[in-house]
Amino acid sequence: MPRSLLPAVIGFEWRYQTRRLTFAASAALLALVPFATVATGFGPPSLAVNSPYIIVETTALLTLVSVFVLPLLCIGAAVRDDEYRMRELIGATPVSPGALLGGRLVGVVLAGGLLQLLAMAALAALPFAVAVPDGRVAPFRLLPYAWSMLVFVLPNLLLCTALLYVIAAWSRSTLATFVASIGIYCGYFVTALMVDSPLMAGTRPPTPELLARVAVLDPFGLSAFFEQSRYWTPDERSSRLPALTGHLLLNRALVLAASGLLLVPLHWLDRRARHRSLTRAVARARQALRPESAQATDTPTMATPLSPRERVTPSPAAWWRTSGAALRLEVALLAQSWPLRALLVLWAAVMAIEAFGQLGGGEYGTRLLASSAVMADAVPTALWLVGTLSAHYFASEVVWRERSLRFDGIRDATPVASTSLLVGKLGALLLPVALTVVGFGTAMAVHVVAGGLPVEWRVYGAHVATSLVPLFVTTLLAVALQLLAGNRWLGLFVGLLLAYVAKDGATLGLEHPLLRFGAAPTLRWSDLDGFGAPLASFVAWQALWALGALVLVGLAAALWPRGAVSPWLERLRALPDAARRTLTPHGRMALGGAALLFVAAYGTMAHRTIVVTGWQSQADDVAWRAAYERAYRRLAGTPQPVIVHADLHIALEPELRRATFRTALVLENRTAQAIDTLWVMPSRDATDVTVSVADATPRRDARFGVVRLALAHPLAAGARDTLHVSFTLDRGGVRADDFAQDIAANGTFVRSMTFLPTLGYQPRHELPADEAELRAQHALGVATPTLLPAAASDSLMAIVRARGTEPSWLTVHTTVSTSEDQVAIAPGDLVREWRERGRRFFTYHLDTPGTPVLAVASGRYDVVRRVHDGLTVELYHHQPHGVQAERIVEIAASSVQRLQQHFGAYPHRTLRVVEIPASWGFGAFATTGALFLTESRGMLADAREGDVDLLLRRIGHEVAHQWWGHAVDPLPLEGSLVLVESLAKYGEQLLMEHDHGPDAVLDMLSYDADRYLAGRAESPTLEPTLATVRDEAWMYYGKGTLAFHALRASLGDSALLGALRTLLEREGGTHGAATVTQFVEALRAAAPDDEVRADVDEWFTDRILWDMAADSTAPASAVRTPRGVHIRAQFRVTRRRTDSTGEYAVSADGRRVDVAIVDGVLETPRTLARLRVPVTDGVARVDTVLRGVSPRDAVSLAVLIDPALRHIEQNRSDNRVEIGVPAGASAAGSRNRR
Amino acid sequence: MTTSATTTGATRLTLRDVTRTYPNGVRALRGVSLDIGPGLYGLLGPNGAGKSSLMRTIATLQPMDAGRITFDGRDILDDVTAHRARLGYLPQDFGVYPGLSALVLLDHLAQLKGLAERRTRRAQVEALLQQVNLWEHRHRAVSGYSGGMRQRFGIAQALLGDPQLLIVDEPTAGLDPAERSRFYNLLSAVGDQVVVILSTHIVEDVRQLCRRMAIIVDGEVRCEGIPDELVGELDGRVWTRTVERHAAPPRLDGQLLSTTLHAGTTRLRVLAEAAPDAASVTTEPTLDDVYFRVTGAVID
Repeated sequence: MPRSLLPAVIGFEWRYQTRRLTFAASAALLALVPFATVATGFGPPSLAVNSPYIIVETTALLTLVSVFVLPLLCIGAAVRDDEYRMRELIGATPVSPGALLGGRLVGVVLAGGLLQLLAMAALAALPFAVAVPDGRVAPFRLLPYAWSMLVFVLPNLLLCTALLYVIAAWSRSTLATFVASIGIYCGYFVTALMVDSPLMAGTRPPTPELLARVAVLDPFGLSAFFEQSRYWTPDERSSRLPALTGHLLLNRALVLAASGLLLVPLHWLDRRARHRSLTRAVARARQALRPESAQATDTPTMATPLSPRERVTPSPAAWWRTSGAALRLEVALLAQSWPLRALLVLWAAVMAIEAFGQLGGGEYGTRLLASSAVMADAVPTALWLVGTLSAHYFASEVVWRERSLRFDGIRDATPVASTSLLVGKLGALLLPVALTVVGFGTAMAVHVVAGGLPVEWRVYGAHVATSLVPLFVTTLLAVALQLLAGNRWLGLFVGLLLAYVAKDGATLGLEHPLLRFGAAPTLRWSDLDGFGAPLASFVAWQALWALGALVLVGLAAALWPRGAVSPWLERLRALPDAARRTLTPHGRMALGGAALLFVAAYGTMAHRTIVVTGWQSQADDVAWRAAYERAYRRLAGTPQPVIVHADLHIALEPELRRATFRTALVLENRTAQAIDTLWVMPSRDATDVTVSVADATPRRDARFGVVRLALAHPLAAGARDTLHVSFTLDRGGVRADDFAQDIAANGTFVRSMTFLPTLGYQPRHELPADEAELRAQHALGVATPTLLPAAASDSLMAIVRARGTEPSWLTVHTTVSTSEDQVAIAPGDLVREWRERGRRFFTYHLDTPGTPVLAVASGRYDVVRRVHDGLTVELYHHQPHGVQAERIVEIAASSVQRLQQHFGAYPHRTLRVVEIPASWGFGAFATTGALFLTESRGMLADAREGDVDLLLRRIGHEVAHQWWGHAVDPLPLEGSLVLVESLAKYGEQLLMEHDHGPDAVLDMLSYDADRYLAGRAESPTLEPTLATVRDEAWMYYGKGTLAFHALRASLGDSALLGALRTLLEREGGTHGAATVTQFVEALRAAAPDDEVRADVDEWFTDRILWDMAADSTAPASAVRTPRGVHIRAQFRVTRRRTDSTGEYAVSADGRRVDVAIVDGVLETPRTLARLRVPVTDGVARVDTVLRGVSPRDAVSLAVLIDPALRHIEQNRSDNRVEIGVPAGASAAGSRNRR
Repeated sequence: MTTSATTTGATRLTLRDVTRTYPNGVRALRGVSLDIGPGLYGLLGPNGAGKSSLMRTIATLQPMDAGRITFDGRDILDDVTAHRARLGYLPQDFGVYPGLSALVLLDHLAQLKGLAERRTRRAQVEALLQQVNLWEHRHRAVSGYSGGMRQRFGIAQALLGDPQLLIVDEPTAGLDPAERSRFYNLLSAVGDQVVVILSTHIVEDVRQLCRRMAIIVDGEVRCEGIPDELVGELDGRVWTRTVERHAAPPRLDGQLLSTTLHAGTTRLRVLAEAAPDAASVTTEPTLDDVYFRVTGAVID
């Protein structure tokens, strides 16, 4: 029996692949990934860079990057026989096609595996070889690396290799294989966006159902990993590996199965490809044998000499003609390219998924109205990714096409100018045009199908333009790089590297865009303000890079290789001669001029974006903060007056994105001692600053902007003085980054933290406490706490009582001028409005002191004004967004009415709702008497459907802040935000329940629970309690919400509201001194028994997670009796406490838990019974007789533990057990199903 | 190296000391000097001799490290575009764009050659397609042509724009005798004033077609002249000796040119001033003998 040739094929393939330059380059590229992650301290600060969680996550990154490296291996294996015309030689040997295919595939997998292994080795070694930020390095453990390799890397490698190899073998096309790799990445992109992959920032939290679905389907297994580890604490992430069970196991099995299935048709596809070649060869041969191809005369027709004899005459007109001919041919060839067509189809499918996903992209499962802005926003990120990759791949294909076809000799021997050929290659620009048109066209089609707001062509047009320009630059650069590099793969690598650096180079220390070719600000559209302040910078940066790309294209023209490609250095040395030969004198002048212009533009941008705008790198900022603390921390605790009244004169110039502020601030000394020095600090980016007070000489610290005013006559205790501050804020012009959005062309929103100066030392300018290593490097001690510890509440309250007032509420008189077509909004009542010199003026008075959280707005608004029971509700909205205007006004008015019933009278005559641009990161913001709603997170919510009524939530929450935050302004202590944000969430619950019922509240709470659990998992430090919470939003928005929901049930609404009203009465207003400690005491006092008090303590002062699950050892049963159906069920109930010693079990004995028995059949189950069941020995036993059940019919019931979400659990899927009750009088139905 | 003067017509193409060494150290051309006039000029040489390198250098597709090449008195590097405008080049092996017909592709190449005016360009394209007998297949994709048809297309594109210098690099490799014959007929119709440089392995083709020839070995011109004259130099000096196949080869004085098998015997051809031995018989020299003498190759 002949010896198998398979080992020989495998061995050859291995040697061939691993000895190529592309293999070495691929290994280097993959090694960059661990280098970048380790050197930049990838992952949360609480985890070591070599913790199991980070290892798995980094491995995932490696897998994604390798998708672009594997095509090189697969193409080499599958295509080279045809490319180098070895197929006949190989085919004439005794090796079977199967052995050849299979052996090469194995060789590719081995080579790919070696690449991954090398990268993993780098990942393992680098933490001990490079400086890791904050010293986040754990002792080495082999298991996480081995586990990741076996569970993630190898199956993913098999799947990707199988798919790419099949495509390569069938198509025999390099380009088609690259398109397939883009397709793989697109598939991942879609699933990642659906489940808020940590590797794809800025998306929405997924539902458990969605997580489960995608966990099974994600080809890279990452979603299954994230599903398991979503709620893991830092300790767990530092020690645990995911379990190869459940969805992860299923996913890996599917991936392996898919890999195998993909290879099934490989032999057949390869045979078809060979048959295609053979068929063509036979056709050619037969053609040669056909009688008509034999010549009637063997001699040429001398009667028809070559005439007319036309000579070639170079001329400018000829250049245009030949350039046009070259371009037309290139475009035609590209348009015929089936890989391009396949890419466009794939792209359209991805865009359709994205666009539909965009409609469901509202928070809490709500849908958004299809508007042009919403739909167009679905395209740019994906377009950049796919467009950039495609541009470089296609450029490599287009530029080297003639050499691949061996047509270059003929072409290069013609007199056509190299510049004409280059113009032809710029036909590759067809690609970004096609991708952009298909992308936005698909989004628009979805828009039309989905309905919603009318299509706005200018919005789509603006998106098309701003997406297309960078892609044009990328394509120009890609073509130039291919020609300059003189090597297809080198050009591709350099191009992809530049693209990566342009996008993420800041993480590698290249912060300024000048260091990253192609970098430009990311644009985000607002229907109010367009692309906003960053647009001017975007245009400037893109113009700079376009000029640079054109210079490179010009150089490429000069260095165009006609004939043999000389080594790069040799070509460079020959550049002057080459330029002389290739370019006309005008061309050389133009190239030189363009190069000079680029240098000049580069210098201008450097000056503007560094010197003029005062750009600071991160290191500069750190140094600034450290220096500020060293210089001024000595002033901490130094008495300073507070602002009790502000006279503001604000001149807004929206078109210029500029505003001038003139403020007269009445200061009052509320301390017990005289103040002889004022330390005033206006906004850091203010210009033309003047600060003055009578009888004081200002001295300004230019570096920090702090103005010292030594008072000739110290300000006595209780005395007042007036401080005058004026300055300008200029948000326009070209910048590197850090674009402020407050002063907009339409939709200005400026807050008091910007226009009111601060007095005294400001801890917020320090390096934060969690940057301990940075602080140590700068010899700084412990950071100033932003909030005092809860334990200081007694002493702080004593100070307040002694002083009479705290905090510093103020009255405000504002005169704001703006463009004639805009409306300005400021705190208080509108007292006057007039027009003057083509501008519009408004004067507002807030004469009742309010919290020092103020805002001024201006925009081209439509105003809807309604009066409800003496309350005027005004809505200022962008005209096209008025579809929900009436509803918004109705919700605002009714929210005030209902919350008044619970919390007491609303303190103002007016409530304003103002729409602001989408560029703000929050959903809404409340000031005294006003709330500001962002267009993208409320105004465009589709009220027709959705799990949660987002508008009611948003508006209700902000209205609730009129009491919680603006009536009660807690002392600056830990836990204070519970009294602001958690109570505002409580207000939401009251409103939601009133309008939509208790089930709607539960839907809402599931998101808040997820927020808490996910935040807890990411927290670098021990989770605080609600009583000690500082700025952990996931605590006061997440756990705080759940706490008040639970306490409503255990305390009862009456007691809870009673405690809140008492708090408002005692601590509301300017003399208030509310603390969470005090509030918790009030709740405890209101508790009817120890169990409820234990509840209060558990929520506010403890860290407890519950775990309740149906007990599989005691199956549930339902037996018909004469009295009804006797139901028995049992649930295991445990609790875990976390404190500074770690996490440990705590008994739940003695506590009672809610149990509900529901009709299990209906889509919205009907509750048949509710019980409170005690926990004994860790078990909650249900033993009850259910009456009212049909005596004859079969019934399906379910027993649920904690149906109302009164306790926090990580896994609630096992809280339910189903029982079937058979038909009949006394049949014993006993079935325990989960 | 050898220089020469043309005996038929003035020299149009002059090569002086053309030298090229590749980056990997291979010396492809070592001081090649030739004077080439109108008509067919043959280049012979073994594989790797430097023929294609020389062709590409003349076509300005490859730089030279030293030397000078002039055509009609002008250095070809002074104005490469002008030189290419007068050049027709058919490389040894070439591919074509897939899916494009001969008419479309030839028209495109005509445009690249600067034939601007559409009607005259079209007329030339059509005339050439007829000339090379591809008119019936003009709408078919060139990528689907047989080898012979593809070579005819190649010569058609090389003839675009009325070139004055035509370079054809081993154009008949892989063609059957009939196609080879047709191809040479086309070349012959090019015109007497055009310089045609033809490289080939087929020695007899050079003798029949070319007015002058050169033999290049290891980048050097070893021999140059009129084929018949070069053969004539060997008159009376070429001997044949027949040996039984399995017999030991005899010791012969002279240069062994070739050994060939013929009907079970081995025929030796030897270059010597006198009969190498008693059994040797004088024979008429051929151009192959000239080739083997120059290259030192021996066919066993």
